[in-house]
Order: sequence, then structure tokens, then C-alpha cells
Amino acid sequence: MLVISIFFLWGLVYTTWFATLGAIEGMLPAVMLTCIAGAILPWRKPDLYRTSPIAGMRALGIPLITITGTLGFLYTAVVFVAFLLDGQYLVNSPTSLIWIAGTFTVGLVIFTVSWLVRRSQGLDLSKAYQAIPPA
Amino acid sequence: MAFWRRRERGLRLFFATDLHGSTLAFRKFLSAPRFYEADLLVLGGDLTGKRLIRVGRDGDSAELREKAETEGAYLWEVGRDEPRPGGSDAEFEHSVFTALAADRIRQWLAKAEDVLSQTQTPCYVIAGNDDPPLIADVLNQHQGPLVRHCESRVLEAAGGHQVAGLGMSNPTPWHTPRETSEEELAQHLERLAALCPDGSRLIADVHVPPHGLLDSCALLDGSVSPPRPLMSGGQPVMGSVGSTAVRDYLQRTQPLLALCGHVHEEHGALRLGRTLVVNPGSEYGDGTLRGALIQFGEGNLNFQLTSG
Repeated sequence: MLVISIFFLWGLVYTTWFATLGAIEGMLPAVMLTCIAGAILPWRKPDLYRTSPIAGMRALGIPLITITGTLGFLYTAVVFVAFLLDGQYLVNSPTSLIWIAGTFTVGLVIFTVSWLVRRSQGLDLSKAYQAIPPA
Repeated sequence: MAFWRRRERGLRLFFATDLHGSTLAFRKFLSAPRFYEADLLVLGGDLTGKRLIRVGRDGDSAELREKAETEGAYLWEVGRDEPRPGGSDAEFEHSVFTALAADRIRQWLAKAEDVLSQTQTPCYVIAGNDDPPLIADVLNQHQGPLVRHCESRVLEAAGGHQVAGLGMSNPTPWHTPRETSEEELAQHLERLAALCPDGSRLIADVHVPPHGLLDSCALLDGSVSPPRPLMSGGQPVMGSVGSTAVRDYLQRTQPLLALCGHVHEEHGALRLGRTLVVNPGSEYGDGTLRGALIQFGEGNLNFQLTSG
């Protein structure tokens, strides 16, 4: 991990690889998914929603988390598309797009290998953070 | 065998602790045999909640009751002109709190026997330092076939293993009901060690983590009431609050597995010699169940911390 960190620090300081908004573009899908998850929480996980501090807050009869989640999704979606289409942000250069895709690919590979190793040990990694249905 | 192949699995244990009266977290705990395919459950101490909420006779509602049970609080229905027994208000409140906590534990035990009978999954349980002695009595008097109180005793478990427990703690700034000096704690652990000197098959449910291992939290000034965090340079002072007696016990007997809690902020698993020490932490307040799955293999243990 230290070697990887040094490599990325070197890339940041001595190259122009990261001199774009590519990192932000890469983060936007995660923010969009989080916004959607928040927006549908009152229906998807009503038990979890009822225990959260925002549970009683509504505007025009709609849960506040649904309104803010939807607005957040729309905003980040617009930014995501704008970054991809408008060259002035330097996001849609081949180098930047390769870095974004590469980051997601490396993450997916790490997760898949970890999942397989844990499965061979008799453990299901996909259940580590899954909500448990109460008995 | 190739790492991607699924192996035939051995015994699987699920451990959770410090539920502090949260019925939602407890009901999730009871789902572990089906959800995680656990063969054995261990429930660490501190089953008692922390809050008593006064409501009027007509102030109760299903929504409020559900919220209180999720957060580990107790609803105390009091009429405006209801006669009060003698003694101070604090003493009376304490007796009401203890009685309500004991009632909830009895309900939990009945529910556990009912749910666990469907899979015939045994569950070993102890009281913690926050639990009044009455809670330990309720657990001790429970006669169910599946839920078993393992405080200060060694019980046989599946797979040729043994389970032993001790829920008392070293001194805390909160002056909790079942805390004692390190010396007395060492004596209790010594008796436990005499019952099971060979730790190679032992699962020790000790509640308090060993000093210096999974026991770090913000230190409190216990000279004021309520205790407040010690600050230095605008930052809370962190430190170890685990027990030296527990550490000595684990180092000497080297159980296969040591399950602890007590420090909610910590969660992880570390080795102390041969012993795998696990503290899953606790987030009972919003009904989240933190836990640890322990998979017994041939000569090794694998673990996975969970949150759900």
C-alpha cells in the first residue's frame, strides 16, 4: 500500500496525469448512487428510515430525504454529463478517461479477489454490511 | 486447494455485544443462524439500556414504544397524582429502571428460545458491567434449553469447544453496577482458569478487552458528575481502558478465541499470542447490529466483522 501511495504521490507532483477534474468525475457516480439510495430509503428500508433523525421531516407530504436525494442526484448528474461533454474541464481527454476507468477496474478486481479468498475461508463478504432482517 | 473454491465449512460462530436494551438489535442478533448460517451464538454483556422516559398514562403510543425499544430506552408510564413509595426520587427511579430492564430481558429470553428452536442454535450469554445484579439473576434463573448463562462457568459447546464467560469489568468513571478492582477481577479469572486450564478449545467471553488491545477510547474525568472528556490542546485525550487482569488471564491460558466488547468505539480483531481477540464494537442506538462471524477451520480461525 505504501508503494502504491508513493507512486500516486509521484504522479500528482511530477506529472500532469491528475491535472484534470478526472478525480471528481470518478467520484460523481458514487455520489449519485448515494443520493438515489437516500431518496428511496423510506420505501426500500422503512425500519432503518424510521430510526434515523430525519424520519419525521417532510415537505409537501414528501420525506425530506427523498427531496434532497433527488435534487442531489439531478445536480451531480448534470455535472457528470457536463464534464464529459465540455472539453474545457479536461475530463474527456483519453488520459483522464483511462484513469477513471482504471480506478474502477482496479477496485473491482480487488473486491473480486477478496470475495473469492473470503469465500474459500467459508465467509461471505457480500453480507458484511448487509442489513439483517430482524427475527 | 485453489483459493477460489468453496470449501466444506466447519463450525461458524456469531458474536455480538453491548446491545444496551435495543430490541431491534437483539431481533437482528436472533436472525444470525439463518442470515449468516451461524451454528453457535454468543452474546456479550451490557444488555441493559441507558434511558428511562417518563410518559403519562395517555402519552404512550405504538410509535413512541417502537422508537424507545429500538434505542434501548424504557417507557415509564406514570399518572399525574399517582402515589409514590418512600425513599428518594433517585432511588425510586432506579428501582423502576431495574424492573423494566429485567422485564425486557425476560421478553428477550422467551423470544430467543422461540426463534432459536427453529434452527436448534445454542446461544451463550453473560451480563456485563452495566447490567444490574438483577439482570445476572434473571439470566442465571433462565431454564431454557438453548439460551445458557456462561458467567463464571465453563460449558461444553459444539465441535468439542468450551465456552466460559466473565462479564464484570475493571473500574470505570461511570461507577457501573458490576465493576470491581483489577485484583478482584484477577481472582475471578483465576477461578475460571482453574475450571479450564487448557485454552486450546476454549472460547472466552470476557466482555472487557485486554489492556492495550482493542480498548482505546476518549478518557473521561470521573471526578465530576456526569464524567466529561479529558481534553488537551482542544482534542480529546485517548487511552487504553482495558483490563490488565484480563490481559494476564488471556496470556496465561491462551484461549482459542477471546470475545469482548465494552468499548463501543473500537472494532477489530488482533492476536495476543495464540488467542484471536475480537471486539465488534456497538452501534445499538439506531438499531444497527455490529457483530463478528468466526469461521473455525482445520487448525485456524477466520473472521469477518459485520454491520447490519
